[in-house]
Amino acid sequence: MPKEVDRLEPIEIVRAALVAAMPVILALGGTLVLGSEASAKDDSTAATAAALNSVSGGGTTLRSVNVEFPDPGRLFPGGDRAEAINNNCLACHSAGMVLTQPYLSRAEWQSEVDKMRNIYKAPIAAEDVAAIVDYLASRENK
Amino acid sequence: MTDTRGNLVSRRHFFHAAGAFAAMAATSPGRADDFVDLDLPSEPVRRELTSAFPQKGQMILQRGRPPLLETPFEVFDRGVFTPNDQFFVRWHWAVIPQEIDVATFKLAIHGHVNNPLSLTLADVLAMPRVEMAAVNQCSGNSRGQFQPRVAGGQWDNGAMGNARWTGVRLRDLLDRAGVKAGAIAVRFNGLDEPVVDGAPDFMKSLDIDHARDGEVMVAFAMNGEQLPLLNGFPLRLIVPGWYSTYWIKTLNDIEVLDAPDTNYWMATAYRIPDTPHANVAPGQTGFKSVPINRMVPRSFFTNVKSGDPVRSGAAVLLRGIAFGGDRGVAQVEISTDQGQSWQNTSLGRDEGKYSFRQWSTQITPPQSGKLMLQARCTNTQGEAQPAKPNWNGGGFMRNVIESVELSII
Repeated sequence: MPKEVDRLEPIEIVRAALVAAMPVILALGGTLVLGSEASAKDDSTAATAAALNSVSGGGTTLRSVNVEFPDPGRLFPGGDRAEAINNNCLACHSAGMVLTQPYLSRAEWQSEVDKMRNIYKAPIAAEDVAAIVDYLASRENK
Repeated sequence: MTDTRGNLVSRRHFFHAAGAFAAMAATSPGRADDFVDLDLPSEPVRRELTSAFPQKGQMILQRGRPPLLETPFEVFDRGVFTPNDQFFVRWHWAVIPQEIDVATFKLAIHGHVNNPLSLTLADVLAMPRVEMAAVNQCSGNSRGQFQPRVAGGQWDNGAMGNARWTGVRLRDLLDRAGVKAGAIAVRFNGLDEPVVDGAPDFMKSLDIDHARDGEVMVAFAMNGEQLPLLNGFPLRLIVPGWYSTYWIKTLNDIEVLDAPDTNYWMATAYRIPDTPHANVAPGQTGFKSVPINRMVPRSFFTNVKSGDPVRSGAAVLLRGIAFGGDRGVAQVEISTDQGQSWQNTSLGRDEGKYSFRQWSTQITPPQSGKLMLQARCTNTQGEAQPAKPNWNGGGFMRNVIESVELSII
């Protein structure tokens, strides 16, 4: 996935690749993840070299890993009603765990959304908060 | 670690991402191979089963990104060691490296030390090694069973696993760096990072004496193999007897502190009521809280589940697993009369005090109708599972006596 590999700053690479390549990866319809240690679709020379690397000592060998996570799955259902939650929430986490929450009160959902904004720094526009809380608190009515 | 972050992800990127999700959802076929209905007290109970994650077999999908994957419970009937490819997975933040180069990976040890270190994996592999079986259990394992229900990952009982860990003592690493007098705590950080700048990086810490107890270790192998990336490759902190929140994955930074750790994940999150069984009444406030810490005993039936039919008058083998928390398993008993009387079971091979231990026994169902069975573990400190479930707002530390109800035919 990363086209340029700067070995000195792996975190930067992963972050940059994640943000920059997300639309591309997703637009491809998602590629099934390989169960093996190396991703065959990665054509970066440096990454290929990394995948071949191993380190040994004391009878243990550790081999470099290059994998790809699967696409994060579905949108929040509900069409227009889900627009605010789809636009604001999916960049940091997929819909799955939200949709498997038990039926919580509006106050509990408000507190969850507040936590996402205030502590986890989700850049949710103030005008979208009500629509998100409405969506979450009304799921059981569907 | 603190200066390696990228810039704040702009709102434009968020909309790009959301738009891409829409395109994907319209064109990509579902890839769930199956579903499972968890035995939770209320809806929603259905979860996808997925085999789409790298280096992992079939898992219960609790969340795709960042991944939360639960071990299907039948796995625990196959032995006391949980296979790496079905070991549960839990990440807090979505920026997780998908590529690790073992030749360039470094483990930093710094802070209140005389000789700050940057160790390669070869350096770590060359050190004296230790091996230990230990249960790794999420603080919120079984949160989905809480009543009233609470927000958070809605795990059934499969956010736990047991492995044989191989690695080096944390004490040896700290000694190599030379801890200075006045050290208070040791903080651990991994390669995972928040998507948005300013959000709290996931870090946990242990008191200096705990960190130097000779049992806490930095593992490079799990059941004889390198760790799956989703379980923390290449290095993971192992804190035997303590909840998984401390078992930092993709560990690359160890910082010795000369003051208590006030970071969010110690000071605010993963706190439990400082009460017996971390139990409070729903809605109760004003109690003192402490960071979650040691585990408590649990036991489970693994070869029968509620609703299974058994024949009246015919002997039935019952089998399960137990662990003592931060101590070994002293005994596992079962009750067929709602806990009025208990009978001992046979314990399987002892793989160490922090390991799962198998138990087994036979019963003969007496008459027709329902047969309620309960299992209770007592650890070597004399601490037994409680008859009543605990409750707290975080959904932490559940260890009530488990029961199954069989149908006698």
